[in-house]
Amino acid sequence: MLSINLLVIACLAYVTLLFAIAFVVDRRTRQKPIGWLQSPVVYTLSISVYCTAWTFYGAVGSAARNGLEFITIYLGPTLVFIGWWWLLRKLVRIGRAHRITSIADLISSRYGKSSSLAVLVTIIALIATTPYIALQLQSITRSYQVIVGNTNGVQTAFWIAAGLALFTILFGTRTLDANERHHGVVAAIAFEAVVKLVALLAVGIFATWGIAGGLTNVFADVSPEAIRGANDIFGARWVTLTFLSATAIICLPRQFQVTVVENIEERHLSTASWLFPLYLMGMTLFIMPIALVGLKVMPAGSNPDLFVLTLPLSQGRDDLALLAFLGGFSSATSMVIVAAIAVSTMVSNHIVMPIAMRVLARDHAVSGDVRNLLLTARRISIAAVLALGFLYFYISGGSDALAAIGLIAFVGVAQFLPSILGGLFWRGATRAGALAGLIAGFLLWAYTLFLPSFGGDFILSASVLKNGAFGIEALRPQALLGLAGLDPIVHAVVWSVGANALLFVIVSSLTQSNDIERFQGALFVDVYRSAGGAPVGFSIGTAQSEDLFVLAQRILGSDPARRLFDEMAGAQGVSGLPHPTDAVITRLERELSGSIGAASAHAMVTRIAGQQTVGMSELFDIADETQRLMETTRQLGEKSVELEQAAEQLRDANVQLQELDKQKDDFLSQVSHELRTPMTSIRSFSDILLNEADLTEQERSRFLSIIQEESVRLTRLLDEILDIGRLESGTVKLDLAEVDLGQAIESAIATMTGMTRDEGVTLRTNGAPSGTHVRADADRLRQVLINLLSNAVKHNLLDEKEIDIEVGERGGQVFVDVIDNGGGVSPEDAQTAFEKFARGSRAAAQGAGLGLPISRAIMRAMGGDLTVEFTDGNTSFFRVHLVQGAA
Amino acid sequence: MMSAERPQDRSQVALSRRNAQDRTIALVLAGLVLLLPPIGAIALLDANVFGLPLPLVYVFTVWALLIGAAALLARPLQDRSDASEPVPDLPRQAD
Repeated sequence: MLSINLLVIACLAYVTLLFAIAFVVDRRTRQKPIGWLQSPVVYTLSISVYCTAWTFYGAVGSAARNGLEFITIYLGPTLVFIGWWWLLRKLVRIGRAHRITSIADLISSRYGKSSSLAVLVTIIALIATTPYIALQLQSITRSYQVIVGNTNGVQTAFWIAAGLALFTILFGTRTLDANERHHGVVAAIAFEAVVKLVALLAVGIFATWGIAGGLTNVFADVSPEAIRGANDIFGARWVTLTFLSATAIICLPRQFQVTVVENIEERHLSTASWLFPLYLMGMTLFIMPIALVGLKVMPAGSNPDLFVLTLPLSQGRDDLALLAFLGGFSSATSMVIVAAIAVSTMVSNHIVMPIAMRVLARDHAVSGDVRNLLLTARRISIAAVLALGFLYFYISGGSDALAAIGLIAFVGVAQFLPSILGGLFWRGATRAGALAGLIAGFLLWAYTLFLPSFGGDFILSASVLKNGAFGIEALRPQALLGLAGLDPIVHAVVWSVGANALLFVIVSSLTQSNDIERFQGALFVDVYRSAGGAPVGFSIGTAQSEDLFVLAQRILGSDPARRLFDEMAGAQGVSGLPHPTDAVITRLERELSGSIGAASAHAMVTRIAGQQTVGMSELFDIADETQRLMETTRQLGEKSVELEQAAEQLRDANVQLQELDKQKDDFLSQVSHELRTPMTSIRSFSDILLNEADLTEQERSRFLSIIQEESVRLTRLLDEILDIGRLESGTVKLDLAEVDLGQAIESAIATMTGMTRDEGVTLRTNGAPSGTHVRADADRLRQVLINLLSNAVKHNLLDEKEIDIEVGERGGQVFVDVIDNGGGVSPEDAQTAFEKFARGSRAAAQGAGLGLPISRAIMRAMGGDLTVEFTDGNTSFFRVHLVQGAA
Repeated sequence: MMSAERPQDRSQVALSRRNAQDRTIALVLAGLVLLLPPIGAIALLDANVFGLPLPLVYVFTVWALLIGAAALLARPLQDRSDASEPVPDLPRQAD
């Protein structure tokens, strides 16, 4: 018989060892991270806190009663971990990016940092965890009683609970780790995981080979019913239990704590994905053999739940029994510690702190350190959680009903699943939907499973259990709406999770999320996309850096706060306190939320720093405004360009006008000059005629004729000026008709007969083919030809002057060339020939110089032209272009 | 190590990563199908394999295979450097 003393000593030694491990690791990691502690193996072992005393003891009991059914509790987590890439990884990523501290924090943060959701989740978690803790206490007490004999179970349980509270407070709240990581606790848990695995394997090996003599012996003459169990395996219950265990591995507060919150490196998940199922398989490998051997060997009526302990005891293996006891002890205590940490975090962050803030806000002066308040709140919560667990155990009197509590707790935390899954993958999930689902699921769970588990002693009386609320049969807690004949667990799951999910989806699709929700939703669902998942702050306002600094000091502690603010100021390139930019405020909120949860951090920063959050709709308005401003700016830009162009055109036009103005001035001065010359002659000769008394008749008539000639010249000049003016402005009317070209040329030659005879000019023409008609004004054409001919005569310096008139025709145009043997105009003169008052270098200074311009203007008005053509470098002639007539 | 990677290596890694991702889905589905009714109920036959009851052997064998496959798939997925660096603990106040 195992002596009490040995047991007590062993226990104390073991507990001391745990404390020591936690202490040493905590201290070492404070200085610098320990390498092997950050290995994925430790991470995986800590996840094995899933295997509580329920696994260590209760699984054998379940195997003895229900055959293989117990294995479903471990198949679910296996499937979830194998598929880690799709669900767990996203959870862990979000947890790290947003510094999520608990499952209540996750749900609340996702749905717009909602406090109501946080509180609801906390309450559900507390209600589901308390009986679970009581169950652990009961296991330890019972196993102790098995070895030591009938002692005061309550007293034992009390001391265990107290010890656990001490351990948890010591190592769970040394400091307010902004990451909520507890390295010492994790190390202790990992150690306990090894102990319980070794213990269970040892007992299993002993049972199989030590007692039965081999595996085949174990299963020899075992009926198939023993394997199939009382409830048929691979039935509805099988499926439900698998589903529940898969849910529990995520939604149990203690599991969330070790898997997500305590995760150091996301990469560890890939190792845990197969290592954790392997661990589970190791734990369960010998469950069936132990149960079967126990059933065969142990006296009838012995509690199969304790076979793991009683089997070695019955065979006199005290050493194994001690090991088994320590294994069971490890399983129970690791669950309690982690669960206490997880639930107390939720309670202090989401219930105590908001109340404290409301109380403190009344008196402006925040007395004492907020951080101290937080730590105290956390410690009190731990003690409270453990006290509740103990109370539950005490009141339930250690009844067997406690054993079923494990599954009941599973269904309770399964209510979180719709909100979590929806929150992670569905951006349209709203807070209202989550609330509706959670409330409905919780109520149905309480009504169909939790309250009935008290057997009619608590809230629901026995008659209600039998006949339904208010005597309505359809409201029977375990056969709602006539869904009878189902296993109670299956029934409860169908109703609670089913209604939860349904309401969640329906209400979410019917409601709108507010701005923060939508924002958080995008961040969560797209967590892989956002770089580092850093939420961008939209708070604008007048936050004072000092206020923020004081706040940070109060919560993070003065050194960490100082380091944080130094870093932020350094990033801004500012000495002293950083400017309260959005980035700074966001960063601060994030760091604070690691200590007190996102909802509290947000509320605190908002209240103390006096900020307003800009809503999404306001943001959109701002964006619209900006859009409009940009549009207006763009249009202004375009207008400005147009104005530029217009100004450019105006400048050009101005230049042109000035040009023309100058030309007009030139023209006027030239004209006045031209007019003055004959006028001067007329005046001077008139003067002489008037003043000279003795003039001969001959002289008198000569002077008069000169005056007359000059007058004529003057008149002709004025006519030409008027003519060219009219021609250039287009106001002259040409009488266009079909003109016989040959006749026109003959006529021009005839008019020139006098001059040509006087000057002795030989005039030849090749003659136009008779019948060549051109479209022209006959008189004007003659005027042009005469002008050209007279020019040819006047500007010919040779003694023997010859002029040829040649007519040609090409492509609808008729050419009349006037070629003189004097070479025509020189190249220099050709450039200025058509300018007004140009006289040319070969001129004998006669004529006003308007003839060519007028002629060209006339030709152009007739649709033709007048050009100078060069046959070689120095010889040129004039060409008249005419439009061919129709005939 | 990164500098020694050739572009082909990286694409190989990416491809194997993609394959591994898809295979995890297949693995989960296989597990679901094999371990749940109706398929799993095949194991309800009252036969004995090497003297051990069939349901037991079936479940544990499938389970072991799933774990083995998961272990094989974990390597290519682990190399995915998508995982951010470890989030360090914030400086804590000395106690």
